Amino acid sequence: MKYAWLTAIMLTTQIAFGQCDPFFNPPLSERPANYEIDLKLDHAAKTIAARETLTWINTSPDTLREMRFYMYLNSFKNTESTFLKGASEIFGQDFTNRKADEWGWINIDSIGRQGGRELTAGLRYIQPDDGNKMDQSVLQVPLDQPLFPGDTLVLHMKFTAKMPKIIARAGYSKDDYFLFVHWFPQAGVYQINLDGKWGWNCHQFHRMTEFFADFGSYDVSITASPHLVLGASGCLIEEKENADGYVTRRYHVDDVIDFAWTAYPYFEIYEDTWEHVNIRLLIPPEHCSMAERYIGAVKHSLSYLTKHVGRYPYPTITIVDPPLHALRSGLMEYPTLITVGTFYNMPTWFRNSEALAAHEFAHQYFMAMVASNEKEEAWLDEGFVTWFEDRIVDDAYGRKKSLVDLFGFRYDSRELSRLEYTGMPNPKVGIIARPSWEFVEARKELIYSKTATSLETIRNLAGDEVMDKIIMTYFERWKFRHPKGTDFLAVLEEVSKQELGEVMGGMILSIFESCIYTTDVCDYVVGNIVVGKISEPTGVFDDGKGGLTFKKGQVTDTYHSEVILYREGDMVFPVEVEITFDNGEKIMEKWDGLDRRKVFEYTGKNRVISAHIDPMQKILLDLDLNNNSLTLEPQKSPLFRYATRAVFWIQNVLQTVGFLV
Amino acid sequence: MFKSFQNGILAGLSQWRMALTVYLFQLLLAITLGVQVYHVLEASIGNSLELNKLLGNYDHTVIRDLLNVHGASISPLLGQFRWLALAYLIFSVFIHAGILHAVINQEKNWLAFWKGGATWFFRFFKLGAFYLLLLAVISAAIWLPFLGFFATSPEYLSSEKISVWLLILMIVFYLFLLIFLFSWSLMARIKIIREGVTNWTAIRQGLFWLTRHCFSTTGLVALFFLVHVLIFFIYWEINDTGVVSLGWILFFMLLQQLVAYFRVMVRVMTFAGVSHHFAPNTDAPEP
Ligand SMILES: [Zn+2]
Repeated sequence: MKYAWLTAIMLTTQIAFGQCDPFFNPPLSERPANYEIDLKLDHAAKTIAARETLTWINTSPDTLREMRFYMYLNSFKNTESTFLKGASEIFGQDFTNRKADEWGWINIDSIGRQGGRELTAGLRYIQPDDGNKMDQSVLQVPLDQPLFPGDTLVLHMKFTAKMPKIIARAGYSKDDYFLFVHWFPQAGVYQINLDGKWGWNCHQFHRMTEFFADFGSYDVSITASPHLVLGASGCLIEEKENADGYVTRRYHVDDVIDFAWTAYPYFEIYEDTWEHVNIRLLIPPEHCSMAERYIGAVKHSLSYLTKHVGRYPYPTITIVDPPLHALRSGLMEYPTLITVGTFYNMPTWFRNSEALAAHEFAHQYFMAMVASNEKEEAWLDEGFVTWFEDRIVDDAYGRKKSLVDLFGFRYDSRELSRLEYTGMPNPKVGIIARPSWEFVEARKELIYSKTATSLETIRNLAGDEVMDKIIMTYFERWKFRHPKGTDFLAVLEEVSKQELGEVMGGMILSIFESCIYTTDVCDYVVGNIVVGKISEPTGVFDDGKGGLTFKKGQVTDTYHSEVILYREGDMVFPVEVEITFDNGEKIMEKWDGLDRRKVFEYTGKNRVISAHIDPMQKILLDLDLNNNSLTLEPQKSPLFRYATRAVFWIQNVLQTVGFLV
Repeated sequence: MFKSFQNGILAGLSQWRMALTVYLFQLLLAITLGVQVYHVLEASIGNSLELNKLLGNYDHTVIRDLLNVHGASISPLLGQFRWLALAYLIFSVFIHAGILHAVINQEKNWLAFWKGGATWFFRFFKLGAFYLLLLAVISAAIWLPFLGFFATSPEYLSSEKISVWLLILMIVFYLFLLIFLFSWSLMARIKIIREGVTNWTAIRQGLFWLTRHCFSTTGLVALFFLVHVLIFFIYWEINDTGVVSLGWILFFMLLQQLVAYFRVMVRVMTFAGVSHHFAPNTDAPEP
């Protein structure tokens, strides 16, 4: 067997402890937010009852008098939450006819400060973004005493959470399937915000946003019925059976921004390793044919990202493939745990599931380690991740055919990203750098596809080595921190100027800035090629003796060729133009791409027969690559091939339509 | 059944001239659109060097950029195509009447074809309308509830495997139904040509006979259907080679036209085969 390493193990003991050591010493991050949670799952009631201890360090120079918590499960409490308000369906799922037990919520039953007073009475839901008083996704906890800079706050709380029937990943499905995300009171981030001032960054839950939180250690003990197979962020470090038959499993993970877990009785477990990383796949039996494909995709992602971004430090990655009835919990990233998605008997010529696995895994770098703010600047994770997804998938499965390859119909991931952007009805609909909740349309096309295409374009301009250096520098500098868009731009400017010089480096920066912060588009066009033979002067000329003389010039054998180029877009790129002459000679011209019209002229024995702007197709942002070239000696055979093919299919349809008459 | 299959093939081959006529008519109609496709492609990307990438079988970027930028000049062609298909549906009534007339009377001259077409056109037109209506009603009755069930089936069924297999089963069943309808409409037409009965009687007696010989008849049609599938499979396999030269393109054009001609031929063979199977001595229904 090709993948001899693959072993399927249905486990009663779910992992051999010791192979997975989750403790990092010294810490990789500042660890300002640390959680110890001890919970019991009532799978029949879909509830958890838990105790949580938060150890939180004030890393700011401010004295704080309140804490803020994400309580995102409350977004699924009723239709009046900011997340659900104004919509009757979320991601194609109607939620208006939900029964009472299909809604979800979370409540802090009691909270107190270690060595201090009970704080429960002061709890208050606040709505910093939209003032919607019905929204309970952010909780304010006034402190009894101020928290000074550098001080550590320890809060003990008890909370209850009721999982909804899956909405936007979180929740339960039939047969005791659960995905626990947004499932515990999680502290917001106190940081320097985009306005340059210190303050809480703890947004309400909006439909198009995901997560943003501080780094820390998570130690989570889950007590659940023994029939459930569990998967969670980090490593399983302890397991014990209780007197009531329930099993308590303790998981630990350091230096992450979140903790997610899943439970389902029918998961099969596949395990594998890549260097120091345990890969653990939880998959329903009907999807087992995908196991090799998922693990292969994640292994390839690990080696590609290690080579081009940096080391994956965690000892584990858990891949959760939900059963079809719970597909809505799929396709999301959590630290050291990703959810993917597929169907029974997914054909091998369609590699969407592999691409999704690569995408979600790449989030371990951009989101989990380089923890930019997905709510305010989603392009910093989704755009970067889509770009790496394209690169990983095309590298693993081949250019021009990596995603789909069936009967001659084939395309790759990079092409798809470019076409999602260039194929937009209006590519100027808005800028990329906006908070997610401001997007009414084209969020994916701009944040994911345009960013990925922009990054690939500057990679083509700067070269692979320089681009690797930019990304590796950015990763090394900002891993386990919260960078903003401007922080990436600073690295981009620094490295590209250092490697490519002031002019080229500055140009790359300004191109990328216009991609992200403007709606400018790019379209270079070869307008025309005009060729004529040169004639000698003709007409009446002074003869030098005060008289006039008539001369009739001859047509010479010398050609004059003009190549007329246009810049129809707003963006300016320096471009190469390949000029081909009738004797087969080719020359490469350089054009700064600045003027709206540019003419290259040639005089000689040979005439120009074609011109090609950017022949290597480095500038993938160009809205129409077909008009980048023009030839005076076009081939007719492709036209003929497609026309005869059209004739053939028309014949076939005609022959088929009348089958009943 | 196999004897009728064999007989159909031989009878079809002997009617090669009639098949050629029908094929040429189809080709002529298709070319009127094909020429426009050529000109639209030429006007939109005819002078681009990217066009050369289409010498290979397919290039997603070139095609999608073409559709993005020049979609407006391509969509009128689709409109024309719809009208052409509708018009051909009506022509088909005439053509199939002609073929059946010639096949049943085992005549191989042009006259039999034209005469058959002209004689039976109006009656077959009404008959065709009935079967098309029946197809629409049956399709809606099957697929609307099934797809409704299918979309929510993961909620009820114990495994998605069952949903997928149910879908495959439904597709097979629907194919069988199409073959059944095809055989039925063919029986009815054969009955009318042979005995001159009314449409309604032909429909009734056709169904009666078909239900008695259901598996042998649908099996026979399915055999001819498999010939189609085989032809297409071979075509796809050959077509998907990266091609560059004009010689290859000409070869493909020939191959395509051969496939198109064979499809007409197989239709004639099917008609002849079913006509043989539904021989006069066996078609008398019980009173
Ligand atoms: Zn993503």
